[in-house]
Amino acid sequence: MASENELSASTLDDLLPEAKARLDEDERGRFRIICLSTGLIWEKLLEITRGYFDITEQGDFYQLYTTHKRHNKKFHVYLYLYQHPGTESPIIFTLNSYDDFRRSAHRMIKKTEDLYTLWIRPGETSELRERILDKEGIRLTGFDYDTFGKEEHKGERRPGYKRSGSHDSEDAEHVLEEWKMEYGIAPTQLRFDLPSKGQFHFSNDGEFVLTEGDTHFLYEEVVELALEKSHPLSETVQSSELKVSTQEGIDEIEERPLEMKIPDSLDYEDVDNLVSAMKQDDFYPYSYQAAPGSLLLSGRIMDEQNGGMISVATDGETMTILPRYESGFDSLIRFYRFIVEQVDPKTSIQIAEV
Amino acid sequence: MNEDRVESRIETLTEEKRQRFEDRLSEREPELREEIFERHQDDITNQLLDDKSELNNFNVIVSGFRNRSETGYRYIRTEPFIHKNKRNVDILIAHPEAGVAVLVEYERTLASGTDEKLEKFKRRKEFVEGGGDDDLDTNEYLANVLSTNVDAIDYVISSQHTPQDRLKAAGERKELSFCVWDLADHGVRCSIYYFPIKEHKTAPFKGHTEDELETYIIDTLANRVPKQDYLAFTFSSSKYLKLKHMAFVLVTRYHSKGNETFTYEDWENLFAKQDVELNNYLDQEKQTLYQNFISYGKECNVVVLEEDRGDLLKDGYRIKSSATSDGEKLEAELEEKMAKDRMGDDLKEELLKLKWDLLEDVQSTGETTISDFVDR
Repeated sequence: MASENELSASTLDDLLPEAKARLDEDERGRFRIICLSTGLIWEKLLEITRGYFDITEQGDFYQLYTTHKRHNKKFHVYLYLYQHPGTESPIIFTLNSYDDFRRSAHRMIKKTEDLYTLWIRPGETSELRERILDKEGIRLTGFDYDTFGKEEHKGERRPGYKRSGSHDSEDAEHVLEEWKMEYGIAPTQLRFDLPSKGQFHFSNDGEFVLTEGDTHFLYEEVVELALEKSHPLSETVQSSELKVSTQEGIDEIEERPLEMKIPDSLDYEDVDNLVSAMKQDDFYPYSYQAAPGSLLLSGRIMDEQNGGMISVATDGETMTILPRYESGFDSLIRFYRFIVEQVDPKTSIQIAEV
Repeated sequence: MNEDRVESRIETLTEEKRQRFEDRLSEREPELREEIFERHQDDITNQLLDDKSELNNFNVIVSGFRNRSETGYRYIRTEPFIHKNKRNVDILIAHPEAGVAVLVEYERTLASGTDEKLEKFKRRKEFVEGGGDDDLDTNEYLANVLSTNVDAIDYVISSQHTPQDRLKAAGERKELSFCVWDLADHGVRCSIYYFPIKEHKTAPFKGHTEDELETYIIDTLANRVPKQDYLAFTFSSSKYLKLKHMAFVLVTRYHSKGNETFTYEDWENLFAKQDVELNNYLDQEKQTLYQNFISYGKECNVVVLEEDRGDLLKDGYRIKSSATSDGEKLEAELEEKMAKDRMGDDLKEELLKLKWDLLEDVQSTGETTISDFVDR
């Protein structure tokens, strides 16, 4: 039985209007665009995808089909995998729910090395929000938020508390600015309303959702912009490596470590908190040494989500990381994200000079 | 006291005394096991910390010489001449194009036991200067590793603690000329300082063979270079560290990718080709290391044979572990297995002693014997 979530288009130009027509028919429908980043070549990605979905080529897309059961009801999941021409990033289009996505592709993304959702850093989220709000008539109607950083108390009111939640109001834009100042919050999802163009939201995990309105607008004005802002980070991180090459019979180390600069630097006293926060985020500091004084830490960290291993060296202000045993870039980007969210949102990253 | 004697004494006990003996044994035995286990676990933990601290200093040296553009001198490998155990050196640096090898020995400190350490270093130096012995031709060995002949060899002793005056005096006493590298670790960066020690004031020894190396150390290494955790073990790291690291990596980087069994080739691929631990090791050395790993792994019930092909290098093995994605559990399980293996003999001996003591106790009750006056 063909599902209501199946799409027949074979080009993006056809898929966007087809999705719009479905949204118009079904009030409760949602159109989701999920951006991914990967260091895998396309063929390898397809091969991995085959382990999780039935896949069929459909023009410019690959239709990924699977089912899952909940409360004894069978759900049909149709995802449309597309390669963004400019960045070569994988993008998934779907009319299925977030839950359907979570139970199918999300599992694959989490377990697969070298595959990650497009992460939009806090600074990039702000820039994106400003660029979107520059457009005539568009309004911010709500946001989800969290507090990032070591002390969570960059705000003015009662610093020291972790804060997370959701807010919706006509004046959400002002509230967001005020809460940022007062409570030090950072948005993790932003919700917009654009008269005649519809309603949409996006999260810092690269998920863009249109609840009603213009699919072209969402893709061209929002998704493209987000890719333009956030793809360079993925490229930088993907270029990091450690490998051994043999020159004239001698093995030589070739490496491109990443260097993070942490303005709100780590002290020796932070080690215990850092380690327990790591474990919560599925990182295990498997072998490390911490020397008292300033924080001199070096060792290995295991990514428990996919078995990746990275090596780390830090003096508390600068932290260099390297993928080990050919581990994927997603462990590195996830670790950088961990530092941004748990230690200091202002942490920068670049390829280290060696 | 031996097992047979203890057993026969147990057999001669009366029903009542035997029961009392059994009761007290079942009360004390778990405590004893726990106590011995913890002792061995602590010993392993301490050994692992010692290994890590040594490796951290090795990593300072590797960081200084991993393929840098300023110099042709580069890190080659750890522990050259390893199969002559007493003559191996910690690290080999070389400028193969210039035909220079640099043998670097590491000491935790040179501030104490200086003479003994220099004496040991001198014997190694003389061994290499003499071209080795019947078992090991050091020149041939270096030519093998470096794919070129070596014309000159520099001898370096390195440490984080290098009191210059003390070393100078000891060098004169031992009539030994050599180079000293003073290592410093600043977490994300590290540095190496250098000075030569002459066997006597007027000796013609000038330090490193080439100015290029001296200039590189003084201009670049002394001013700090990025540091990284390159090596997780070397040939002569403790068996605990080697088993733990190899098993950990095999589980996370190999088995968890859906590979059921590994062979020598897979192991070699991880530690010698994908990463840096066994770079430029000779096949024979790698194979010995692998054999030791398999044999100790089997002893600890960490490694199991799955596919017997009659050749250790071709046999298929698996790391036996209940944890695959939980790093903490995996690490704890590996350490626990090693501690259990290590405690074996101690446990046997102390259990016997416990039984003996309990027998003495039980048998003496009801009659006044010496043991009644012993404060227990």
